[in-house]
Amino acid sequence: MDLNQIARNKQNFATKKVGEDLVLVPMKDNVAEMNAMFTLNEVGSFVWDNLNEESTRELLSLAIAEEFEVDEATAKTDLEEFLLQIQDMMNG
Amino acid sequence: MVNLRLSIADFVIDLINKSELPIKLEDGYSDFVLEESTATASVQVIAHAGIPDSLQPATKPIYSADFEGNKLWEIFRIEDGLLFHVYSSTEPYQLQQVAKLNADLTVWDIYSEPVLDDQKSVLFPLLYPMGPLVMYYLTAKFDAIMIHGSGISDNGLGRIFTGVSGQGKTTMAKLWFDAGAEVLNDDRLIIRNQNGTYQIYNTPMFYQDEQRSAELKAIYSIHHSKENTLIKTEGASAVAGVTPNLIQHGYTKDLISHHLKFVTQIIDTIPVYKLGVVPNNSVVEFIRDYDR
Repeated sequence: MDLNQIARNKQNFATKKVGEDLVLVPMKDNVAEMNAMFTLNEVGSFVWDNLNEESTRELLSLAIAEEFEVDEATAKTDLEEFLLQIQDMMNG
Repeated sequence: MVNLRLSIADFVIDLINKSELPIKLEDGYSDFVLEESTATASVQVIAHAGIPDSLQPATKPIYSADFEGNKLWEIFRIEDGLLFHVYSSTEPYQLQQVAKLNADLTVWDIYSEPVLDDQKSVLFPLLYPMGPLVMYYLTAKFDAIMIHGSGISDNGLGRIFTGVSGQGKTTMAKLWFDAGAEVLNDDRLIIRNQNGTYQIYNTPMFYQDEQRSAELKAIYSIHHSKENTLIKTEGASAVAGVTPNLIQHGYTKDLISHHLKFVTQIIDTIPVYKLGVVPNNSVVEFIRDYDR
């Protein structure tokens, strides 16, 4: 699943910010799957908010590095962790 | 003209009879009838006799509920609100009522087939499962939620034990009752924000009970365990622990957002715990000891 697909799938989730975290509730066939609810940490929440159909891995990594004042390698690792988590959830 | 007023979770519901037949309520509502009140109603329920053919849906349902393989109700979106087809809980696929709810979620028009009661034709506008549907949309409209759980008042401390079926909610209610606590209800509760405090209320059930309430002090998400354990959860984890146990019609993001927002507000002031339960009276003392 590429970034564009993930960005398009965002509309199939209800979200709620709780502190720094983000709670996501997937909607399947327009019905919420409350038992599949999951949470993103501060970095994941930031990526989710900034992810759109124009996003690239490079742009998102740079944005993470700038927002959280980490080096580019750490930002890339954080982004890949987020993408793995989000793909697992969207495929699940 | 209002024919009957109900008070559920301190919300006033007006019942207005637009038919020639008398309206009746199931026994569980008898202690929720308001004798005299000038309070403004939150919701109006208008009772009609007979189900008009014009209330057939033109589209597929947006949401439905089944019970033990039988259809219980379906919801259809219509131009000016929602349309409900409600089926008998005892006679499968028997259309019991059709109801329209306005877009503002405040006015119900409920069309019921007359039934014989004491050899007289009467209407039961809130016949199960219609009543719980009215209650659910009441909470969805206002600052409140409905939750599957056992609610108890332990010397005025309101505690809710929530969890999926089979995790011991009813057992917990019995254990607390045996330990001298008041059981508010062991199945379905309303939590309402009353000026910054959260009140737990029981709701009319199929059996008669008085109105009960207590100020909410803690929520426990329960699971079976070999020993009693208590872990306080915070933030998103607390929200994720409680929200799946709400009674909810998750067919729009608005409804889901309402529930998530309410639970997020609750956890600001009310502790939420994961409670591992040994199903005997030790768990009661375990929780009381924790609070001391």
